[in-house]
Amino acid sequence: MNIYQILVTLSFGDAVSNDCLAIHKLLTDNGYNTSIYAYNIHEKMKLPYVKHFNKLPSIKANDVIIYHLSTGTEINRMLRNMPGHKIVRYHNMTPAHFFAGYNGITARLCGEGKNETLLLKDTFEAGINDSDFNTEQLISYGYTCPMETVPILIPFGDYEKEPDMELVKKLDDGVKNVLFVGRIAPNKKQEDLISMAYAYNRIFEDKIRVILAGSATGTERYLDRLKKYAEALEVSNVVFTGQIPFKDILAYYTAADAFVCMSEHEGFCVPLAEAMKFETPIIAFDSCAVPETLGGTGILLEDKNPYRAAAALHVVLNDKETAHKIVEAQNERLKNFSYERVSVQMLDAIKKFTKEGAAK
Amino acid sequence: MTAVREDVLKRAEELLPPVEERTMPLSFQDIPMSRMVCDDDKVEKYEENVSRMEAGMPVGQGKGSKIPYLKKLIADQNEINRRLIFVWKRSIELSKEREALEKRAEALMIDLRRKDR
Repeated sequence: MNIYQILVTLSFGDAVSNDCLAIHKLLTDNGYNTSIYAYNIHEKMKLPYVKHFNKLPSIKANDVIIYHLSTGTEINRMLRNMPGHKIVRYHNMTPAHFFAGYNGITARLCGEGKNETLLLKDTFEAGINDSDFNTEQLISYGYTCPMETVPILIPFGDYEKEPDMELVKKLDDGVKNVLFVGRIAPNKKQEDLISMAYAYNRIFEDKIRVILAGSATGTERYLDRLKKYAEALEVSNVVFTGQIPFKDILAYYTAADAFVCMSEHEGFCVPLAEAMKFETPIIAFDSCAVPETLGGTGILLEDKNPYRAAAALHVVLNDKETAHKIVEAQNERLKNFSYERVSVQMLDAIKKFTKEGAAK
Repeated sequence: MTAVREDVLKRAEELLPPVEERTMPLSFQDIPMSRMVCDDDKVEKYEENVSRMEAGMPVGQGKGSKIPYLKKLIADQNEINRRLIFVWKRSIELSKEREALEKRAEALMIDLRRKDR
């Protein structure tokens, strides 16, 4: 029997694609016949085991499909009639309203995706979702199949690579670096970080640099509005990096003094785990899967008041002992996301849902 | 960890300026939505144009945006012309047939009248 992982887009560097690739490696290392099928394949992802969805062979009754559900697509409609044992890996879907006015296509896909997720409720034999938040959402949609939570499989070994040292040196100029990593996207609420920077500049004398690291492809209107907002507030200490190579991301994490997340929609939020890896204290708005990923660590903000966020940031940036305590707790939490631990969980779940080892 | 969180938030509260000074000169919503076109918009616009075109409606305002519509119009006109020519030829054929039938019918009538006499 074969295990087919199916997803719409196998991109370069996003959480769903990385999770899919890590699962592929895990399955291959454990002797499974497996391959990945996607509609859109990034140039860098054109690998021997990655094929176009149109080339999906005829699925046999004992084959397994692991379907990464994260957006609206015609695959969602086709999947219902496919044979084989179907397992959903739900990464959640950004509510469409966030993209209204910024990107019509994305808004439409998100809206359709939700309806399609509802229609798929009786399609899967099991679910291996990356957070309880996601699992609970599927249950609320009427999913009754057995489901487990297995966090996103993050190959943390990649983060041991050498960062761009020139950039690290450049960022080491006495200004404290406040980082957020993630696509420039309306649901991630980067405007709240700009408001926070404004409040910080007003009430504190020490200087901070707010780094918004992430691509704005498809959300150019939102980026344009963010830049105009920063300009209108006369906040000049916000840096938009755009799409950057991995070594630059490593450099920003290495140089970061705090990680601040104001996102209002996340199904897991990998950058939180990345910040933990780099021992960066986290401040985050209490929303969606964020508190679950933090698991009681970091500083959770109950509201979006920019002054309160700025003041909490000031405490974390200026009290080494407090920052150390936060990082210590984060280090403990990070153990739950270790590649080794999640690999075992993932393999156990796959074996369980594919009738114990029959997959090989 | 809860204690650390509570401590940070409590100390943060103490650092805040008086409530009346916690103001923002403007909110993000005050910034008008950008009219700039992103790549996806172009695709969406194209899709919208195609559906309008299929419905026989004019597309867009600019010269470029009308090109697909004009192409469709020309194609439609060619199809109409082709059909008109067909109808015209057929009508000529039919008129010739009718003429022949009328002549034949007239001959038959003459013949019948002759026999009646």
